[in-house]
Amino acid sequence: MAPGHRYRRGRTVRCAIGIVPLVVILTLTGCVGGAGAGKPDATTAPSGGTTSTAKATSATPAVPSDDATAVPVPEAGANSQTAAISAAEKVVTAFGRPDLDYQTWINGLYPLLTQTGAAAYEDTDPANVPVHQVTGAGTILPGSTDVALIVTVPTDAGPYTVSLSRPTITAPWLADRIRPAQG
Amino acid sequence: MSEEKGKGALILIGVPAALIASLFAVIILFLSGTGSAAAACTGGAGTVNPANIQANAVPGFSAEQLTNAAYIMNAAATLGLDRDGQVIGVMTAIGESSLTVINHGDTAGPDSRGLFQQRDSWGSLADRMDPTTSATLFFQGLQKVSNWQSLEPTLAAHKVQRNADPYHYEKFFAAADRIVTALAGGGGSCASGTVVLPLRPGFNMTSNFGLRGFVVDGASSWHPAVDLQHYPNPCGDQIYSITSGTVSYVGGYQVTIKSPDGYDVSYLHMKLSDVSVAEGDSVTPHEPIALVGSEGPSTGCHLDLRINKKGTINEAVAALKAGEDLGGPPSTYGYVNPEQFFALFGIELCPADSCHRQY
Repeated sequence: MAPGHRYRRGRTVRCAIGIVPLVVILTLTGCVGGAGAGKPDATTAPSGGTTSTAKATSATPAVPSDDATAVPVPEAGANSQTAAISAAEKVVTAFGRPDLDYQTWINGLYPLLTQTGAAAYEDTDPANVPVHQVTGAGTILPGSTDVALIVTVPTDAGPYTVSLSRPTITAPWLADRIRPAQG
Repeated sequence: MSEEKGKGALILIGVPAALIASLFAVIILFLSGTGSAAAACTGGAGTVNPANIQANAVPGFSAEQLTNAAYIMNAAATLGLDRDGQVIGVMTAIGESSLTVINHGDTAGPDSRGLFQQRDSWGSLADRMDPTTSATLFFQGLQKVSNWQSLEPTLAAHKVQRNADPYHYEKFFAAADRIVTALAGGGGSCASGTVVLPLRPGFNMTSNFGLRGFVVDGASSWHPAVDLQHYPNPCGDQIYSITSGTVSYVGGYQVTIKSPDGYDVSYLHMKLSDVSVAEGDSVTPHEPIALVGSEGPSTGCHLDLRINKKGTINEAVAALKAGEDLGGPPSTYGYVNPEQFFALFGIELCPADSCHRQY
């Protein structure tokens, strides 16, 4: 983990100045199925076409290939996991307060959410939250990392999954999503 | 967003009108705050005759459900909303009531009623139980959400419904799009913006997922990925994150991003100096993350895109077959076919009309 990334989350916003025009173009063309939509640019179409010609004819551009394997991202360390379980239980406890008025509820939740989480959950009416309490210890789902992982937390409304992330290994875990476990 | 606009933006890059349109859209996106995932549709808002619904128009949905979808679509059109509004309305009603006019509530909302499970505060019982009126109430709420078109569809719906789970509607988007497409006729479709393509459209696929017929370094290989590239001159092409998530690994010639749904997306063969994100960064769909390269075991510039479902909480992704289900070696365990992954979100990764398969 590179040091000095504590405020990395702000970078997304700054980068947006440069990327938005491209985003717009992609967004506008992000659809399939319309008549003629996504028609290939003539210059991008290869001259070959079938597998056999691509292999057999030396005039056809070589198909790049690789035998690469992806490096598995290490599972979160013990300290990361302990901190994450504690953070997730705290998040679900703050989330599961349907008795509170909205302002008190969201004020208790905001400090535990990422920017993305705050933007999503600030529109929740706490009266619609079925959770009242955490009923056991949280567990880390496989595929955890030191900067992003998911914790399952048992509640009186069934298991909830809390997607946590953080910009550095020393930053507090914050919640992107708090959802009833699917299935 | 109309199809014409979409095509115009592609073809007329550099033309003043397109620039102005882009700038306008830039302003909208900036005002929207977080995230750039938004529904993008081709085809306009069609209206439907609810009396003329075919029973098998959309597999998995009854004539009654589709008739209710027609009322929702028509209510949107009456208010002047476009196709993205229609899809959001149908998606929301699938998530709330499975497109049936429900005459009861639930634990969290015992007074919820109708297609949109609206509570007492929304209006009279008769209004909430009427498909057209309840849909109109929903869309009037949606119209009050500033820049709802720029939001991820599930979050736009959530701003109206104020549900406990803002992401509840996400998994119903593809079905809603199928319904609107089938009922409106005339083609067209919407993409949710939740998952987007990793390169600008028009790329080719030079290797697919699975056991490869040709050999590299004398050995056949099982490829847990797809290889994508533009032709010619793929080197240096911009790579975009296909989902939101947190960058969990940058090293060697690889970037890995973990989705809040738990699956990992890895992008391979880039130079580290061409990687524009760092571990711990939070990224949104479409966000530029690196440039296409040919680092590592590679014979030419291309993007190797691979998706590992290990630990995912997304049921549909979890249900995809992975390397271990398909006879792959341990190095392929957890990896799912990216084409099937994209299809879950209504996106064809390599459409026949623009993507040549060379393998």
